[in-house]
This record gives sequence, structure tokens and C-alpha cells, in this order.
Amino acid sequence: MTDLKTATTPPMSEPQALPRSTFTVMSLFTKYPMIWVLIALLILTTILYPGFWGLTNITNILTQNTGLILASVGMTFVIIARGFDLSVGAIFAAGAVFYVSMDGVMPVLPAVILSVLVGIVFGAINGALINAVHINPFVATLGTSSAFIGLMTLYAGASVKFSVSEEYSFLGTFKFGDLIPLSNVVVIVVFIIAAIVLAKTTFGRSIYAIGGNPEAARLSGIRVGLVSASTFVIIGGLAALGGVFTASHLGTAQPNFVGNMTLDAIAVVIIGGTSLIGGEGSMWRTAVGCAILMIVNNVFSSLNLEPALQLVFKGTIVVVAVAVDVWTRRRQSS
Amino acid sequence: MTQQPSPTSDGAAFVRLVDASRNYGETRAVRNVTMDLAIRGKIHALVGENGAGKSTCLGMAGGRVAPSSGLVLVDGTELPPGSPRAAKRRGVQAIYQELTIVPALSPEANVYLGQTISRAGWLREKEMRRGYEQLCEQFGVAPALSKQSGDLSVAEQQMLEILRALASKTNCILFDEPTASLAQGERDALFSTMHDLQAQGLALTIVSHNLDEVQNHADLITVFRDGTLVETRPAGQWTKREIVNSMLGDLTRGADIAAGQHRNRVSARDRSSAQQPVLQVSGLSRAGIIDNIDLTLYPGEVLGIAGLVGSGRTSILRALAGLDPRASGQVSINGKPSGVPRSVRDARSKGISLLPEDRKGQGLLLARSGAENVTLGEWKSDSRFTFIRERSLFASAVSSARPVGFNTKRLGESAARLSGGNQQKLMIARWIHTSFPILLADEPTRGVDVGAKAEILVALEGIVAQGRSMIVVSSELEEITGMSDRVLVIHEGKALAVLDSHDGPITPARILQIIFDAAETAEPVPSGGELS
Repeated sequence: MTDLKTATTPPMSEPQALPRSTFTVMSLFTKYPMIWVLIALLILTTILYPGFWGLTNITNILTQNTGLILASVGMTFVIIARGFDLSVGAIFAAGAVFYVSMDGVMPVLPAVILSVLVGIVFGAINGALINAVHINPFVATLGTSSAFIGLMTLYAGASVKFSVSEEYSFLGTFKFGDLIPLSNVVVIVVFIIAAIVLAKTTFGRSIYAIGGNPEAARLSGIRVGLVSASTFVIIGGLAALGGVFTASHLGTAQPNFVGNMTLDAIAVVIIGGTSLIGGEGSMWRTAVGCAILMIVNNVFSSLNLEPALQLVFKGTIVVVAVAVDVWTRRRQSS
Repeated sequence: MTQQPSPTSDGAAFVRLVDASRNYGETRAVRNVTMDLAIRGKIHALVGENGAGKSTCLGMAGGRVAPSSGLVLVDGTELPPGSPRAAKRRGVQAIYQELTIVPALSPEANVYLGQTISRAGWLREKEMRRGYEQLCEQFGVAPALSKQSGDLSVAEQQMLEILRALASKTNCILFDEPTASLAQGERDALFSTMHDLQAQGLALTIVSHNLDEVQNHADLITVFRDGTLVETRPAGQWTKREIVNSMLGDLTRGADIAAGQHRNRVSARDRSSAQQPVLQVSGLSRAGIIDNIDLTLYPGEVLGIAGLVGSGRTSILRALAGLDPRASGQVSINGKPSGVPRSVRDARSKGISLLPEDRKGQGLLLARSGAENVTLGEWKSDSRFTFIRERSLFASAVSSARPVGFNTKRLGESAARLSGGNQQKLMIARWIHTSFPILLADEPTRGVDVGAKAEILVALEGIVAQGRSMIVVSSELEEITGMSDRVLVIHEGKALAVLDSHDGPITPARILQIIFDAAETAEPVPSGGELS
């Protein structure tokens, strides 16, 4: 069949290059306004809180947000594929609780693997409910979120540990050269791998396709259900891994770890400018969104500002981000 | 239907554009057009290639598109820019190409959408149903009362859209490509209604790619090219050749095909009986829709399927494309029995690919680039260990897009920015990229302008000449007869005849004759040709 194809197409006369997008710094900013917001925020932060740029502060920010960063990486896959996951916080807590419960039962490495596997199984349940039973992702993960937390509470029972062994706290506390925490390196590596998978592989291309037009993807022979389900498996695994690192860092884990994780992860993706409609977005956008949210949190807590005000500020950023996105899109299309 | 009496009389302009322009970013879609767009008691046709500006002019008149500069006058007074609601209030109804049917509502609820009959906030359901049934009767369509609108075919939904305009009090109706998805009978009904409305003094304006229709039914024809108005003349003073030449300007390539003078392909191909068919189907059935269809497709052949809307022609394609798991029958590929495809992936593994009817809904990733759309789902030869080799993938997209006449410099643009014709070229380039031997093409030139249509047809012929095969379904009979080596005629899910161009030219008249004969005799019709 390949020879048939070459027969139908005239030989290429000139070497064809990829279209060079007219990439200028200006176009980057007008196209992606959230970068402006990030820069403005950084300037403001430098003025208000000079301690911000210290290495310890930066690594602290990353360490505190290990779970959020990993969850939002997963959320980027899910949302680009036109999905939605409200159970990511529950899976995060489940990973943490399960990891801690293994302390004294088995060595740390199998415990990490099993904990991540718990997240993967939970993610697979979400994926199956959505793509095999065809339940709306919003409803399916709303339900499983509650069920997962319940399961973990039953499992952990009263035996919540408040300090894990040294072996188990290694992951969350080890620092390379006493400076760079292991968890920061893991988070950055995961981020880079995820960005490459999304942008450079056939799997990543399929995710954009099923998010952009599921029917077109199906007619093009893409396994829509499988690809969609696998995004839920990815977010499940990543959320549980985040739980492991957080539990190891804090030395404890409880089902109420759920906190704001889910909504923050969704907020980060949206702030970055990835569309909730699906089919658009990218990992670096999520990086921008993450940075914005983490900086805001850091500044508010470092300066001891009113936490309620922080909530107002965070909410405003989300709404403004979407409004700016809508506005630039409309301007581009008209 | 209630028509408002109006102060202006027949022959007076009802909607007028004055020096109107519309820009989309850098693109100037319409440039300084001054015209009487809708005239009382007249049917005014706007023709031109895609992107010529005719639909934009219609959009400005209907209030959907705000002019960048210039005025829209309705009955002599200015229309507030970009307000469809204001236009409606002033008696201008527009029916656009994109359907605005709410799928979960009943047909009559859709007809009265935004104009519900109510008393003190309570719906007058009986009154609406009566009104709807009257409209259906007047228009000669089946009411389909028990169905949800979403279950209706595209053509039936289009009908609802037209009925909606008719149900409102209006002085003027603007139609954007109203007949693109209608079968011949429905088209005739639409035009006879238009002539009735015209007699009542309504101003009617229609955008159409079908020049025959336009010449037969319009009083005035205006040709657009590149965003400007070329010329308006009474319909009788245009010849088809003149219209096509004005539309294309210097670019007269493909005008022969566009004007309906398809090149004669009879005996263009050698189909000796010894040749192995690439696809052989027997007893293809789907309860209540298609009944025992046999067909054979040879390498390098185009088989047309002709039938009215609802005859089951699209269902045949869907079954062969693996989209209908409940279809039954025997299918052989290259002589090997393999069963009806159970899924799209199954069909593709057998070398069968579908060009879907709804290119925006089922075909394209509108937000992604042309290159990405061409190569969608087929990355194997341009990737290594699942890592896509961007350069080689782009080169593949270029070499697949070139034969269909797509400007390869535009492959980096997002599909949403392309015209209908260019979008369709991407879809055909996708088939070239896949190398599948069989294409099932559902309405391959729907909503595509004359120039692009000719290019697409020529490109498809070129590919078929290389030995690939194609089954074509189209509501435009001339397209079927012009392209096909053989035509399978079906009616109400049953095969009536197979016409072979070896036995003499296949004409739309011959096909219609067979269908109408079958429709008249209630008895099952003896087949008019060999059915395999």
C-alpha cells in the first residue's frame, strides 16, 4: 500500500521545511497573556517580599506543592482529552494513607510501587466508568471521590500513624548536597516527561484529537475510549505519587489530606489557559498556572496576610484568567 | 402563517447595504458593497466561490455579522449592527448553513423556538402543534411528531429550520445554502414555497452553489468575487458560462466541470470480468433501513449510490465503515470473506476509510493545523518508538495535500480558518495519507464552492486512476453521474438497478425515472440491471 501512495504523489521537488511561526517575544505575550500576569506577579513579589528568591524559599514552595504539581500535570492530560477529574484529591489522600500504612510492613520501595498502583487502580475505575459505562466524567468522579475517601477511612481506621520510620521519611526529606530536595527533582523530571509525551508522541497527539473532536478521532482509527481512560490512569498514578511524597515529607497521612487539592489542580490548568472544552492547551501553560498559584500562596503566608483575603485573590485570578482567555480568543477570531 | 402588511410595494428594496465592508483580522471578507440585497416580491440569488463574501453579506443583512464600516438599511432605516434580534423584529429572518436545532426538543418545539405561542406565560401546545401541522401540510413534509429533533436526518432538520422562518411574521427571508442537504423532491417543494411567498410580496434572498437552481428560480442574480460585488443582472440575462466566468475571474480552470459538462469517462477503465473485485458485498441489511443490498467494487472504480434522502444510501456507507454494529451480510475484501466491519478500526484494518458527511462535526480538529488534520491517526510511518518525527510528518502532509490542490503553505494554519473547500481538501488528503484502497465518500463536495469542487473532483479522479476505489453518495445527481463508472440506484432501502456507463451514458433523468417508477408501483420492482 505504501508504494501506491508514493505513486499518487508527485516527487517532492524542494525540501519542505516546517512552517516557521513568526516567533517574537511580543507575539508570545499578546497570544499568551498569562505570562504577563506571571511577570507582573514576580515583580510585585520581589518588591513586597525580597526573601522570595532565596533558594530555600523556592525549594520550600516546590516541596509544599509536590502533590499539587503532580496532580495538575495529570489534570492537563485529562482536560485536554475533554475529561474532568474531581477525585484527584481523594486519590492523593489515598496514596498518602496507603503509603504510611505500609510502614513496618514492607520495605519502602515496594510500598511506593503499591501506593502508586492504588492510584492507578482508582484512576482505571474512573476511566472505566466514563468510557465503558459512559457516565459523564463530572458525575463519575464526583461519586468515586466520595467512595475513595470512604474506602481509605475504613482502611486506615483508627490506626493513623503520626510519625513514620526514618526509612519511610527518606523520600520526602532527602536533599542533594543538603540543598535540593529529591522531591523537587522528581517533580521537575515528571513535568518534563509529561510535556514531551503530550507534545511529541503519538499518544499525546491522540489526546488532542479525542479532545478536539472525538468523532473525527474515532473515524481516524484512534481508540478514543482507551486513550481517554488512560488519561485517568495517569492522573491517578501521579496523584498517588504526590500523596507518597507528601506523607513521607510530613511523616503522617490522613484521609482529610484531600483539602483543596482537586479544585486547585483544576484552577492551575485553567489559569494556564488550557481550555475546558478540550483539544487545546499544553504542559507549559500548566507550569505558568502552577507558578502563579504557588507564588500567591507563598507571598500571602510569608507576609502573614489574612487567609480569607488569599481565597478572594485566588478566586479572582481564576476568573480573570478565563475572562482574559475568552477576550483574546474573541479578538483573534474577529 | 401571518404576513405583516408593509408600506413598501413590490420591486422596492427591503434590505439595502450601503458601502458595507467587513474585515476578519487582516482578511477583508467584504469590500465596499452597495446593493439592494432583498427586494419585495423578488427572489434574489447571490453566487460566488467560498470566501467571495456572499454569506458575509447575508450575515450583515440578518444582523449576525456587524459591518466593519458602512450601513445596513431595512425598509429605509438603519439596522443596529450585529443584532439578529433587531433584524428579526424588523421582519428579516435568516436561515444559516449551521443548523440551530435543539436536539432534545420535539420538531414543533423547534419550529416555535424563540417564538413560542403562550398565554400569561403558559405554553399553548395545541395551538403550536396545529400550526406546525399546517406548515408541514403546506410544505409537503412528514411531521415526524413522535421523534426528537436530534433523531431526524440533516435534511429534515434543515426543513425545520425553514419552517421556523415561515412560522414567524416576516417580510424577508434570507437563505444560506438551503438546498445543500435536500433531495430533489424537497428542493422542488422548497422552491414552490418560495414562489408562493414571493407572490405574497416577501423579499427572498438565497445564497447557493447550485447554478441550475439559481437560474431556474431566481429573478435576479448577483455574482461576488473576492469580497466585491461583480455584477447584478436579471436572471434571464445571464448564461451559465457567464456566471461561472464572473465568479472565477481569470481563473477559469475547472469551469467545464463546474458548468456541468463532466468529462466523459465511459470506457476510461478496463474492467474485464476476470478482474478481482476489491470489495464484494452481498445481502447487506439493517432492520428497517436497508434490505439485502449487493454491490461490487473493482480496483480503480467509482461506484455511485443514488437515492432520495432517507433511501438508506448513507446507511450503506455507515455499515461498510463499521459504524453500525447491527448491520448484517457478507463482505469480501480482495476475494477473502471477512464479514461486515464491527468497528471503525475493523473497517480500517480491512482498508476501508470513510469521508464523513459532516466535516466539522465528524472530520476535523478545527483548532489544530491543517497538517495535523491530514495526518490524524496515521502516525506510524512518521514516528519512531511513538515519538513523532515532526519534519517527516509534515512532509507527508505536504505530499498528501499537494495532489488535491491544497495550498501547502497553508498547512500550518488552523483548520477553522480555512474555507469549506479547503477543509474538504484536507479530508481527502487524509485519505491519500492513509493509503487505504477503499474510500466511502459521503457528500464529498457538500458546501464547497465551484472552483474547489472542480479541483476536488479532478483530484479524486486522479487518485482513483492510480487504482484506488471509491463509493460515492451525493444528493447532487449530476455529481454522481459525472464521476461514477457504475451507479447503484436504491429506494427505501432496496436496490433497484445498477447502471453501467459501458452500456451508455448515465444521466440524472434515467436515475430519477427508475426511482419514480419504483415509488409509483407499490409492488416490489423488478431490478433494472444485474445486481452485483
